[in-house]
Amino acid sequence: MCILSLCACRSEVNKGQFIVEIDPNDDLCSADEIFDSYDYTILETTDESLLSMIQKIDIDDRHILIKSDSKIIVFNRDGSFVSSFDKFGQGPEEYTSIHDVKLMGNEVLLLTPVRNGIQRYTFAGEYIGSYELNDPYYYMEIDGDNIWLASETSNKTWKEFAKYNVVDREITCQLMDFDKFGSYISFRTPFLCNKGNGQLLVTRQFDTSVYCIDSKNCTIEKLWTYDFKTEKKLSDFDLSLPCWQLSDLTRNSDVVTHLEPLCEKGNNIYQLTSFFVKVAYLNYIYKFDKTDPANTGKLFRVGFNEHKKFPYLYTLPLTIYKDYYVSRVNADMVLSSEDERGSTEFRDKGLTEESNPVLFFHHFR
Amino acid sequence: MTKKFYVICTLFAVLVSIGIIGYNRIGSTDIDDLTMANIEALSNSEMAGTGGIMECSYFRDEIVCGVSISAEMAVKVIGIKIVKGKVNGELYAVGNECRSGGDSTCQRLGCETIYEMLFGKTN
Repeated sequence: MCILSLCACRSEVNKGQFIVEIDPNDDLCSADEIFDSYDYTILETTDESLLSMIQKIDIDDRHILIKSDSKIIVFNRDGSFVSSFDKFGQGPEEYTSIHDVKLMGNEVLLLTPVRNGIQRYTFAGEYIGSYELNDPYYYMEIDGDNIWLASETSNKTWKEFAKYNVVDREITCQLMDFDKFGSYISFRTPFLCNKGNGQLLVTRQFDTSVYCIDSKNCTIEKLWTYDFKTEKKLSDFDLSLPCWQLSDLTRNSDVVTHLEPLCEKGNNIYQLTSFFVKVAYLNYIYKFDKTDPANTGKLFRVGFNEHKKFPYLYTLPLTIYKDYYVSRVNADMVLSSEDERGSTEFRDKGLTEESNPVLFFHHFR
Repeated sequence: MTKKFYVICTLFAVLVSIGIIGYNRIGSTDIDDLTMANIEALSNSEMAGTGGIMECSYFRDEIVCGVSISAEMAVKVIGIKIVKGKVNGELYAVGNECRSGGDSTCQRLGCETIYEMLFGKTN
């Protein structure tokens, strides 16, 4: 389990900022060096819980929340179906677009920038109310009674991050200035890792640095920066350009423009990343020790390699939950894989080709 | 024996904000030089020309266009080295949807277009 940090953001073993070099051409390590076990959750398939895709997901100790098109579906952690609702519409208790979804206790929170707010529903879809925000935000992360929000440099606060307290119903902290309006929303969340106890690791658009937000003290500090040994680097581009122009120049090319979620486990960092190879992005995980990043790096590619101990480790990540890499494999692919291996584990549990996807939780070593 | 490449594709899209793209199944295709040229165009989308939205009044919402392909196709399409086995994998490209209210130009680059560029029109 990711160790809850009781220290300030600055690590005692590696004070100050440091550079982590990642070369996509490094030899690949085995899955055993990244993971030590895996588990799975079969999502119950009913008429109400049937998923067409998993666009957003949030997981806590008791539930799994999934956004699929405009439908919100809640499962128990064991995969049994709880409830679902679809409130797509223009009405006051409805939504036309959802940028992020979170579980907060027994509530479903939907971040709706069009309405400058967070819509609150019961699991069954009963409208509870909303947290009114003065500006649109696009990503959120729960921190106790606080909701951290990210503006993606696309609102008029001119601050990237804001903390909204649900008790006081107001923004109580704002961090990280930006000076140009982005009009560009990345598909990657800037919230990389919620360490617990008010520490959040974050990043921002067109930046390969990891920052730590200290929620209690309302501070942000750069911890480390990645130097990706790709064909092009961010420094090759004019970063004063508007974000949407930078997007044009860098999209679908060999340059890393955004960081992806990570898991911090003791001194080990498991950094998800993607590299563009010829025509598309492939998914990787880079592991390193914060105390000695230059000599401890290991690069692992997800997919296109056989790992006997991890036969379902080949799909894109949905999220990192605690110290698990969470991904989904479609039911027909799960069954095809177990047929090849002569297993009936999933069929014996009732999985069919028409079932919902299976969630896999691969545990970081 | 004729070697036949095949693509096992399950389309899926993880949308950041809006849009609905459902599952589709793509049949088999060969990747030819013309397709490879189109693929390079993915990263250099031209704003001029027909169909471009030149008014600076949009937000660009990135979308992920993912696809599952076989190891054989991965070797052919992206030339990766398969260390062991014939395991499938997933790769993705980035498109965007356009949403009013911002200050950027925007031309929609949907997953359908991306998949056609990557794998060509198929049955």
